[in-house]
Amino acid sequence: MLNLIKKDFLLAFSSKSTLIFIILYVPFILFTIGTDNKFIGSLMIYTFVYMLTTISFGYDAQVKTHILLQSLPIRKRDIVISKYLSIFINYTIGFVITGSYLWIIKLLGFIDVDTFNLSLVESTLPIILLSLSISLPSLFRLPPKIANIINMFIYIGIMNFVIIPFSQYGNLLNGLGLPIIAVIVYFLSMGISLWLYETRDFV
Amino acid sequence: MLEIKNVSKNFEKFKLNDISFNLESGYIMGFIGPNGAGKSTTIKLIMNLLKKDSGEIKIFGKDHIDFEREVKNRIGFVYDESYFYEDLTINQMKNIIAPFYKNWDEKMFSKYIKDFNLDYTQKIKKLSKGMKMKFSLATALSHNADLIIMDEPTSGLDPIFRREILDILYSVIQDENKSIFFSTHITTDLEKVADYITFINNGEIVFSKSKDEVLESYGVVKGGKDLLDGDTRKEFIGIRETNVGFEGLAENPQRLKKIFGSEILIERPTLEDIMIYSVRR
Repeated sequence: MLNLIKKDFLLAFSSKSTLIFIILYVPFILFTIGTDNKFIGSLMIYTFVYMLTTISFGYDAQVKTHILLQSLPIRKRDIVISKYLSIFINYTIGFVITGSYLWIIKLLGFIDVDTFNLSLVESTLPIILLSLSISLPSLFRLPPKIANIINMFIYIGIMNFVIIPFSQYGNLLNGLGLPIIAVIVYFLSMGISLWLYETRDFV
Repeated sequence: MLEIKNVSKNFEKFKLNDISFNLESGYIMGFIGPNGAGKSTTIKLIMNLLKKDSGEIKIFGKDHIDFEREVKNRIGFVYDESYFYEDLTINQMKNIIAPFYKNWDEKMFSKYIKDFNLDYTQKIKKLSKGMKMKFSLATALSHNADLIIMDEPTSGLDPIFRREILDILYSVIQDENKSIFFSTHITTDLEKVADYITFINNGEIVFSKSKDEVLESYGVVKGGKDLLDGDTRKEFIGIRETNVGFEGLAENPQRLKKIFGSEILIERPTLEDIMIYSVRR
């Protein structure tokens, strides 16, 4: 399982496009959204974790790398569970990298995003869990190209209909039990993905 | 070592129908058939990339799904095309693959990389098809696999590369605990190295026999067109007629020799003859 998580990291950080993404995602969001919006910190973490978690599926669309993975001595169950566990690791990395990036920008005297603090964990983690729990079953089952298109719609949809409104109604949603709902959906999604992946034909 | 028993798989437009064959330790089995006959489907079923509808697949005497991890630890798989992460270098790709194998042998991998003139720092996408195949072979042979499964490894390669790969396979098989299952439609490759031939056509196994038995039990019969009538035609698996005569493939050609005597000429067939005439049937 650890080897699978390590594989995703090696893959992500060996790729030039991922490195360019890591360098550019903070300035890109700052310049396109602006620093006035309360949701900017959430959006940065959300974007980072979502991309890092789903990036390895992108390779499947290009060269069917899932066939390589299936020939290795790995249980399909481990492939699914490791992906769900990696959300938490990616979240931690995303939080640290985004925080460090913003801190450096502030130190250099460019922009001060004062809405980025530890309390963001409470609001962003359930949304990220929920969002990836919706995405992952399709990525585990559908042909890679179709799954990647669906995945993009889910990312944009969650950003527009959850992240942005959440900055205003966050307390209300948390009060309605969003974290508990996210955890339930997370485990349900993992079960569905396990079933979908274990019964999938890799044509 | 590899036991396929009554395996079936249905697709919308194709059916793999109740196939069975065995591969023992220490041998190379060639798996032949035209494009679309079911070779890759069979290999994908063995590797659990596809779910079988019925039947049994045992590798090293164990069910290939119940003991998937254990079984795959002892299989070296070489693909018909490159499924590696193209942006990575050979070394990075090796670092991804190696930790999954219990018996990964770094020294052996380095030896193959050196023998194959590959460069650790070269990106996979920069490798030629032949080099990618060599890299694939190097990874398949560097974890002490007992069974090497190869899906069309020589297709699209020039004769020199193909010969090199066949030589490597031949050296691997010197260890009698190892076996190779090798699908191809380039049958001349198999005539050089295979011990057994399994022929699949339209999703059904036509035969699975030792190569010598196959080549001895068939014959290419040549003769004048006047010898062909409704009854004699039935003796042939396939016939090709020209203006001057006919050429056909027959099982047990000695029987025809008794009927036609010196009017016919019987030649030893190649695997390609057997495949072509059986498909044309």
